[in-house]
Amino acid sequence: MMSEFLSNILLGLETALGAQNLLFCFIGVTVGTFVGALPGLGPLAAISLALPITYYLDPTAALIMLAGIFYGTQYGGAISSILLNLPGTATAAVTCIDGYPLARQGKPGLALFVTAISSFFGSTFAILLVMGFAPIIAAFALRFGSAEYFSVMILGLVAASTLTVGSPLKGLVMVAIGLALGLAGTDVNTGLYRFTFGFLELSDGFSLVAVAMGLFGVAEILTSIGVPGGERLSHKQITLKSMWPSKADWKLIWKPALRGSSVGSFVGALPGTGPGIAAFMAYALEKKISRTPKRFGHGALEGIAAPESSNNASAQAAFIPTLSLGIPGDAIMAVLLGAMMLHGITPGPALITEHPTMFWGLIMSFWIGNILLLILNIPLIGIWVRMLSIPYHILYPAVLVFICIGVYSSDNSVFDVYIVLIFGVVGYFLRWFDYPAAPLLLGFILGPLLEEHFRRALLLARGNALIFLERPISLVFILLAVMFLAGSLLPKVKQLLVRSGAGAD
Amino acid sequence: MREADSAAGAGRRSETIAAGVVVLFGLTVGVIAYGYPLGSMVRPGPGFGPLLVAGLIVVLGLAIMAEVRNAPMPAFKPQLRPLLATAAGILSFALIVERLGFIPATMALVLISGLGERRVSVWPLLGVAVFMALFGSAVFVWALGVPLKSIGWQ
Repeated sequence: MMSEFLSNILLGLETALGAQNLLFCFIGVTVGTFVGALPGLGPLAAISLALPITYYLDPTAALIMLAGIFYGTQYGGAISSILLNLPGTATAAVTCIDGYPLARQGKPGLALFVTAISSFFGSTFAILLVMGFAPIIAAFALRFGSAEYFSVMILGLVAASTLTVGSPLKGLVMVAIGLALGLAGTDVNTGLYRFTFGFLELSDGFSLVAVAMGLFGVAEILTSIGVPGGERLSHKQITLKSMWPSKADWKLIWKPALRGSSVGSFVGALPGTGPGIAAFMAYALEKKISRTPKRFGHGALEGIAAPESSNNASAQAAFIPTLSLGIPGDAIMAVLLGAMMLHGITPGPALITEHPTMFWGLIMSFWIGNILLLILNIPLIGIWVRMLSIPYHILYPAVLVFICIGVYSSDNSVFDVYIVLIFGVVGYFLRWFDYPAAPLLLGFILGPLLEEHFRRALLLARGNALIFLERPISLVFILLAVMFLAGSLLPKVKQLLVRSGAGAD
Repeated sequence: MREADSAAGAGRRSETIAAGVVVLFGLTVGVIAYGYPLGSMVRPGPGFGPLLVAGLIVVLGLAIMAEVRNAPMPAFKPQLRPLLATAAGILSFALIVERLGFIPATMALVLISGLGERRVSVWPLLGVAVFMALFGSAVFVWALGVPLKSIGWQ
């Protein structure tokens, strides 16, 4: 057992250290830091931009790069939070609260160092958990039938939509709209064209690349144009010496980092929850248990260490359900699964045993990627700080070019360029009205899988729809989903009743 | 005070319209799905899943309508300039790229979408356009072999 584990690790290291994989790991984390640092461009946009490029790579290198972009953005996002008071990614928003005051107090270097080291700590913590748990969960999940798959996907979709910051109803409806969009194209069972409106280009459904780039690339640009940048503090030089924490600082941060990592790993491993919630929860916890909660918001180091370790831990832990069950935790993981499927690899519990090189190579690349990120974010931090001065009006037309040619090249068709435009405009309106687009993408990717398992489960149960409640594992998933629903919707219903009661008086 | 009230009212109205669009979308999906074979419980047909989903969308859309009735919302004022400039830029890329080639399409995309910012700086924008056109055709057309001409139709 132990020797098998060791040989797997060696296999993974051998794969991850191969020249091509090493190169794409480096490219991934560098692009991730870059995109993370720039406000107005998030991880989903970057990953969807990189998706067409992965057609030219072997699947392992492709996944290593896409994953690197994802966890790289978790490092980079804090840079602009600290220096500009503008979160580089949504998940780094919490870091503004204490990071920016620290920068104003003349300690931007210290804040950046604590960010990088806490991020590294959180990642390390969670990678160990992925290595330990993913194979065990996968072995357990090999017994899953279609009913279990259907139920666990429902749980994931419900969790993803109800645990968003805004209205859970809006999250849920976005999942449903995503499911509907995902059903467009040829029906696998009958060959019937559904929702294609006579376009032959839609016979394979909407292109994942076009939908993702529209909702997250174009829409993000549309909302960011014309938004004034943050107040610019001048940071001519951030020296390594000014970054290094004192002994007292170290003492202050290690416990919050450990707590943040635990919270993040737990939240990340749940299907449907992502780094944003993890960072927020870790910050709230730290403030609650602190003996001096008043320091928070005025540059408390714990207020950086906890959320930064937490969002990174959650980014890595999100790979547990993704790789062991084939159920993505959030929209980003869903795109990664989409990339696997584009390469003809079926995600699911059999992945680890059928493609050990890929699984262990990917995991070991996390170690390498995080070490690279530590180098990129501590000695080389100056590059990113300088890059923040690229004005947005120069940047966004260039990004649009990448979006257009990327979408075009994914299927060599102009049709997808029109689709990206449509989804971009739709995404812009969704943002305006606070309808979250991430659950839509999750539903879009899971839609076909969900329908397939639904049909198969019913067929095997001879049309008995109660099958989802009769099988014990499936029942547990459904009950959990109902709990999430009740937990988020009941307070709303109460509120509505109270309000309308007050109105009647 | 009254101004704030009417702004919240306008915000509510646009929120209600947005939820209405969601309901309408659900109804459309439902009507189309109704035209597909429904199948049976043992063998759900291609219309079964879409019809379920359509029902879900309609119900949730109506629930959101009820929810936003009581919530104060900012009025809906979309920025038209970035929207139009970006849309026109992407459209011109789509129309030009297979007819005149990648370089003219990229120039058009950058120069038109660049008008989205209120303060247009011409020279830097021109620089980006030229750079992206050349860099893009080197990477995508020449190195990655995307079947497009840099200049000229296929």
